[in-house]
Amino acid sequence: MSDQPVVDVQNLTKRYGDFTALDDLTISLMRGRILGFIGPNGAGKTTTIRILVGLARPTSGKASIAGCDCTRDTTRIKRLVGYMPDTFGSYDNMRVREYLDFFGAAYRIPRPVRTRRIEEVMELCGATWMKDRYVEALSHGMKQRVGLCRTMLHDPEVLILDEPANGLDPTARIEMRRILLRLAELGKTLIVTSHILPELSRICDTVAIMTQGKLRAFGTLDQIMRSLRQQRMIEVQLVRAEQLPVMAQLLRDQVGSETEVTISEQEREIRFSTAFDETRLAALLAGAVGRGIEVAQYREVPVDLEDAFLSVTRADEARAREEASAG
Amino acid sequence: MILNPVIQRELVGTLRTPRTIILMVLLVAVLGLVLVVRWPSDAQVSAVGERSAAQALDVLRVFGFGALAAILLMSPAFAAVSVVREKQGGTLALLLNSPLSPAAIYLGKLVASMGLVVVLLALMLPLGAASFAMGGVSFGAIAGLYLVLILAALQYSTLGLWVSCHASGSDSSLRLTYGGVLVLAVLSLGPHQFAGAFTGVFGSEVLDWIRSLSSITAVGHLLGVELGAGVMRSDADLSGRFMILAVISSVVFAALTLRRLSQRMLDTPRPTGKVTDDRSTSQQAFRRFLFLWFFDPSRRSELIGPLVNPVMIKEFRSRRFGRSGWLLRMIAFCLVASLGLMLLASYSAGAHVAAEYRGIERLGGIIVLLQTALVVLLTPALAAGLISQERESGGWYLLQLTVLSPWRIVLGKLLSVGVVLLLILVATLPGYAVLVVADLNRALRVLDVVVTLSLTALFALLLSATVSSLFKRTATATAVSYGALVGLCGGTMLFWLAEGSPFNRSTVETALAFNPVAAALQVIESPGFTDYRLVPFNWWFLIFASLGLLVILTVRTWRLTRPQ
Repeated sequence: MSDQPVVDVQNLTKRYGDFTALDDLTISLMRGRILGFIGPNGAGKTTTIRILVGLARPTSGKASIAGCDCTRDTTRIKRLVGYMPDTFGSYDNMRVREYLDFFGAAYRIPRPVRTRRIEEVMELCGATWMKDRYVEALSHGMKQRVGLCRTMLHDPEVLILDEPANGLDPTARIEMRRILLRLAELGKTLIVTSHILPELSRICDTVAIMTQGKLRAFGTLDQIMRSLRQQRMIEVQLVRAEQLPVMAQLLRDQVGSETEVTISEQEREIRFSTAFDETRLAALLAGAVGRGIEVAQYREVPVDLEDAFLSVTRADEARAREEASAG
Repeated sequence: MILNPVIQRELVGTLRTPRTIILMVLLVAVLGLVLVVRWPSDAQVSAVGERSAAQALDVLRVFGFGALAAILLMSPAFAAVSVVREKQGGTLALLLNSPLSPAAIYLGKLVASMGLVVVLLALMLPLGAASFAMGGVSFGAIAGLYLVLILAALQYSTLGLWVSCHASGSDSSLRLTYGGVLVLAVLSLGPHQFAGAFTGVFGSEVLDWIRSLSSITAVGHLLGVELGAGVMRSDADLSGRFMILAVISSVVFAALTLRRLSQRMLDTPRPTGKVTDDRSTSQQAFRRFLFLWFFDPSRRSELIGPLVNPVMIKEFRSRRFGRSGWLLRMIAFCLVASLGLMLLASYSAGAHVAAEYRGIERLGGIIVLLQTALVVLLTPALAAGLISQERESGGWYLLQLTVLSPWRIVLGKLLSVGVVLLLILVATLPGYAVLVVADLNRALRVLDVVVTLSLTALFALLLSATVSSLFKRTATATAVSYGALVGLCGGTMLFWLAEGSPFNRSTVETALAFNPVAAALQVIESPGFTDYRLVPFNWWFLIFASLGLLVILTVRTWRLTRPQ
């Protein structure tokens, strides 16, 4: 059972009339993993999530969580999944403890268990001190914590969090990151959407990038980087700026005349992209040194999630432009 | 003044919405339809003579009360949400930070609200002009009617803006404003019913001034409508007094609003939520004594028990009125009001023992009116947001994610309001004791009244809850619920007010048969209603209508909880 994916989505499609919100999505996620779900607004993330939590039905395809069909076994799905939407859903004049008590009772958690569980989740999320506060009087960050408490109350296997770090101050964001990593340690499977990509890259081990209802990239962060960037960006910093033209010419000779070489005289830097492996890059460096070029630094520019996301969305935009011009 | 950007945004923005246009056209169409129904078959244009003049006056009466009903329904609605909506959306802070003065902001909002009324009255003008065209009605009479209507709209708009400055949400602002309008327009007629309790010129003069607060009195007096209870019959110039009082009250409301409308109204601290359990021992003891422990709204509550509906408890806890402290206050108020009315009516009856004054029947009528007013005022306030508020706040998604069935959600929500209504109705029952004590034969009649009122409460609850399930915004649901209930309970009374001219008895009886207030008043043999036979048809109507609404509510809730 443990080698089976907890979240399994196969060829999921959702259409609203002529509009395709989700187009043949297939992803799977193992227990204890944290999936970062990325995409511009309207990419289909929320539609996927709504199908997973049983709030929407797919037009075709199948989605299951821990073996339960998200469309047919909605009652079991509700127990297996904890969903924190991007809107909080507060009630006026209710204290935090009463708010959690209501949702605990709504999930039919017996009273003695509920008492213990409310304390546990508040402790885990660092929300114990606000138990007597009125929910509507809480700041955004505090509400996010209470929302997370509510999501975890019935001890779900999978937690789906829509923009959990949205609007949080740096301290609260660090705290939220700590909580999410702790949850993964506890064996929970997490699906997290966020527009704050550096934040997401710090907690996610798996990433799915969507645009226009289609899955553009899926896998671990390293896999995605590799698949998106066949070329690597190398940066060379020289000791003397006057050697920059010589170095540029060497690169064009060795790497290829089509290679895009960017020179920054002020920084005494040259950037170029290449598909060379480590051995050939080492030979390139040796060649430069052999010609008397004094190299201060020679390194690969790290590609982050933001680059990967931009790469996908730019490719998407280019495709759309091509389709428009062809049409 | 036209350069005031607030006027441009509010008035043009509101007129652009199809909802406003539909509402206005609907109001004019309904009034037009009533006029067509009541149009005399032998009406002659410019005919001279008593018969034609009487017919023209009849038409003007229908138009006058119809237009007033439209003003009562519409003018508070726009003003009541005007400021609070800006506060909720965060644009009030931007407005107050702009070079516009609070007076300019206020004026903009008031003119925009009145502008809508003027558009509505302009649309109705051809209907009013019809009576003028028939001859026998002077231009002055129509102009006077329009002046009263505009002043009434001004009074309700300024009231709405004042409430809007204090309210925390659009729906609560609407509730409070309609409550205020009810007090000004309807409940101000009540003290005159106890004319016998206040002897001397001073007493009757005060009562005349109090009823002059009501636009209904002013329109009735202006159009020469007579009522058995004598609400509009007076030697005094009631419409003139109304105009004076309307201007004074509007100025007072405006002054109060301007005093409030500043950055200070946004400078409110967040409540700390300190619970009684965390206070010092002496404070705890004092609060326990003060609130009899159970009713302390700040004590730490117990967890929800296994046998109760969690949605019901959630509703009680999240609703200000639902908290035990507020419930206690409301019940106490109802008890005191009920007993006070009983005492007042007994005293009133004693003072008129030689003048064939039927104080007991009148007492019954007053208590029925009090209970109905409570039902009409409170039920939409409590029930119109049951589902729409959840959808508005995003709470509905969360409810959908729980394992609660749609039926359990509906039941919990209905129970949360039903229990409050039941407690309030029970608290007003002691007033009936005097009726039964005075004449034991009345016991059965009182029982009939209780049945009518219970069915009314059930109908009002299901109507408001169903409306709540049909609209996404609580403010709209609240306005529609109030409109429907006031239309049923107050609108059909317009037929009764105009019995004989122009409506005949049969038409009035048919209209009143749908009105639960009229049915209860008939059962209790209140003066003016004894000649009608409204029960049991009214009961059957309420039962079948409630069943129909329950079906709609259940189906709608089921649909809302289903995956899309």
